[in-house]
Amino acid sequence: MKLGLKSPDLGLPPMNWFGLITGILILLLPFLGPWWVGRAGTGAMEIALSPFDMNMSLFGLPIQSSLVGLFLLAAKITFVIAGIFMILASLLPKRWWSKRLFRFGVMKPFWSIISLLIVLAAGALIFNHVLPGLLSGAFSGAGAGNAVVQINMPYISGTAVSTIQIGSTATITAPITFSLTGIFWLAVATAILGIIARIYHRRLVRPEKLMLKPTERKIITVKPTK
Amino acid sequence: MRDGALKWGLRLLGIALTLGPLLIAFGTHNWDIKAAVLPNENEMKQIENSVTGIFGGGPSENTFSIDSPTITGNRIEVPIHFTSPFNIPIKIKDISASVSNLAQVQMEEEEVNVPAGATVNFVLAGTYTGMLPTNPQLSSADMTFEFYGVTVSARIVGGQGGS
Repeated sequence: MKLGLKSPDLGLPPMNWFGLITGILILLLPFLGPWWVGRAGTGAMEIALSPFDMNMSLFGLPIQSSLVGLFLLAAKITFVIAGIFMILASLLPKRWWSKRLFRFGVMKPFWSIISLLIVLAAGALIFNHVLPGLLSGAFSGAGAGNAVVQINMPYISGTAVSTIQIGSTATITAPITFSLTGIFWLAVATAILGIIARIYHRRLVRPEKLMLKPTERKIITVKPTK
Repeated sequence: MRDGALKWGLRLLGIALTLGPLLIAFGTHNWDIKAAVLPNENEMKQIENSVTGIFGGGPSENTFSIDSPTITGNRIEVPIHFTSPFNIPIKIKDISASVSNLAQVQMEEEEVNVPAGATVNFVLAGTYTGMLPTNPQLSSADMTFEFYGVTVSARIVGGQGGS
């Protein structure tokens, strides 16, 4: 199978088309919206998350962290720079700087997806196994009787029901829904395209090998001298 | 040489974009990790006040008041006035109550929508046998209501009914 399109037919210099598309997508991804959405109830708590934005609200009131906000801003800037580098390196793959600029950006979507999935899975693990014990203790300590907090959170995507039982006087039940958005799947497509672009870029910039052919023998007929 | 410079330049750019936010966040919060990570105290206070405001002061003795029950045969109907202590609209999904510890009554409507802080009237019905007190009270009530998709089931213990 041949990767990439040959440009000479169009009268253009050779370029990495896969890289060009990946670069454009990397440039766009930070501005397309959340990759994952989590909801408790219908607006009791909402979290919209991507590697570039985190919108969290409790009963419609926004909650923000300056450190997380700055990290996400840095991720956004990184993706914009990576996208520009990818486009430049794909348009001019034979330049000396092409390989370095290409490598700076090409795997960013892949590692962003992996990081997001790890954060979501770790978050669900903590909420399901660590937080109930802490909250039960906190509620009981605050004089809410024998509180039992049972949190069932889906891992990454799905629906579950969480319950807080405060003695025999009150039970609070909230449905929790997590879902991956279409933008996440676009990021997955970008990551796959990035891997293909990386393989193609290696082939495109590989120096041509010198083929050593056996020396041609020429039969020379020499006339005998008198 | 120039390739090496570019390689290190890109590495430094990556490091700057990772460490930069950390240094800026901690620097602007006087190197206080808690202040940098969590929302600031004013925001937390605002959230706390707003959440407290949403839930109001919680149920009080004025939350439920009942009118004189009507009895038809062994059926008792108790008109209820529910004044919502919440500053958000809620849906009452179910109420079952004991009237002066003598009769068990239940909400007949499927659900009752209560606007924020509003008073709604509905009827609890059940069967009753024996002497009806002149000033009946809800001695205890199990109430299930919903707000923002969260369901709360609570037991409210009230005063005893009159004689």
